Amino acid sequence: MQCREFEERVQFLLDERQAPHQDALLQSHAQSCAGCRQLLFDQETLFRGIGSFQFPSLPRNFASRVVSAQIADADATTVRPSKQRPWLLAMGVVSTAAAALIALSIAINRWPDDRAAPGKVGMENQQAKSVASPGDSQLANEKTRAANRERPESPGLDLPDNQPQTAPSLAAADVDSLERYGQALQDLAAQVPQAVDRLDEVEEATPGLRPVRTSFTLAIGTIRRTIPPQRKQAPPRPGKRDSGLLWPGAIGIA
Amino acid sequence: MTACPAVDELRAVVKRCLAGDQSAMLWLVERFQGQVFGLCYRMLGQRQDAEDASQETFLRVLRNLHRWDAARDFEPWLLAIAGNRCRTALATRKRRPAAEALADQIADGEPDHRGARQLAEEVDLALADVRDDYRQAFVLFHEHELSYGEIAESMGVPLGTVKTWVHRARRELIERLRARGVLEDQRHAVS
Repeated sequence: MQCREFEERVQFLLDERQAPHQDALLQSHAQSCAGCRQLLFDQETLFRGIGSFQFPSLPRNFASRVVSAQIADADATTVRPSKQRPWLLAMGVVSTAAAALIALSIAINRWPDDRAAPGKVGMENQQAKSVASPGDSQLANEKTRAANRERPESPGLDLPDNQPQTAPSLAAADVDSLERYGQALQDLAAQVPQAVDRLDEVEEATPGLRPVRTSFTLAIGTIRRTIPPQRKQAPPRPGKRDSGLLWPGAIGIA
Repeated sequence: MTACPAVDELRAVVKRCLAGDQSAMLWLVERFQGQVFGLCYRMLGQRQDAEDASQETFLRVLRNLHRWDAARDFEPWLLAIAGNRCRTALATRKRRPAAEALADQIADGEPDHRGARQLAEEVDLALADVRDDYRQAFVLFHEHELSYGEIAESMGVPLGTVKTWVHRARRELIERLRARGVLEDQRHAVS
């Protein structure tokens, strides 16, 4: 037997989980070869060492501890659905968004009253601006307001231009009656197309406020979902250019 | 090593475990806790770490029993999970000094043959220095008596790779035992 064959046979026997030092062929070769004798001794020692492997015993209650932990884990997983508090959070966010929209609508509609802003109101203001000097802007606004007062009362969507309308009182929304609440929201919805036009103006003046439109659309959708189902009357669509915003009539707010 | 329980029996137990039968879970853990703890102890070299890894292994196994392919052997699947837990533990935990690990073992076992026990401890210490994957393959082969095919399946490597790892583990163990003076020079011994 060659030394190479000896080594291969040692590995073969170990792979078969047999003790190499008990193999006659290996024994005979090991007697005549010191290197192979050393190899056989090493492998035999290792083989004995593996056979004497020990490890400490587990605690007696190990299995029951594992099963208890598993059951506790499963219970925790089952209880987890009751932790769906994000829904409450979402409800809060939606309510806040609706309130913010109401406040925003009112603020936008009252804007011309609060600030004389040439170029930020309707066509009549534009005309007034064209004939008046900057110093006369206050006078032009007064004229505009007087013209608005002469107009008959009509739903906001019927107005040909961006006439500011009186925003419905927030007190209406505070009333407990669901119907009155719905009416208040309906009135608010009627203001939205004008607010949209104002939004265009705002965006033209400040392109950085672009996300306002998205927030607005989202808030309108939210309001739509809060309106009581009995209100089915659809408002007339304004014959204006498409503002790009999903206004209440388009999403069936009323 | 005890033989794996009959496949049909094991399938029935697993089915009961999946239905939430606690006695079946208890049976399953008791049946395999020796194998799992043995591997974890050999891989981690420390009793508490091995116990923790064993518990984590069984929790994972019980949680993922539905993923076990009943057409395959249970033990390689189980030991694959145990091996993964051990490798994770090795990667995240700092090992205790070898002396401490040895103290664990000495305090625990009471073998009759002191020489055999000391030899086993030496082999165990040498094994702790062998590369993780070599060690896992070596322990699964020699201590758990899994076949090369089962180890390959368990470790997710080709069969030839497992053979190479086990052979290298043996060679490295012998080198370490020689370096520690455990193996005597037999080249000039008269037989």
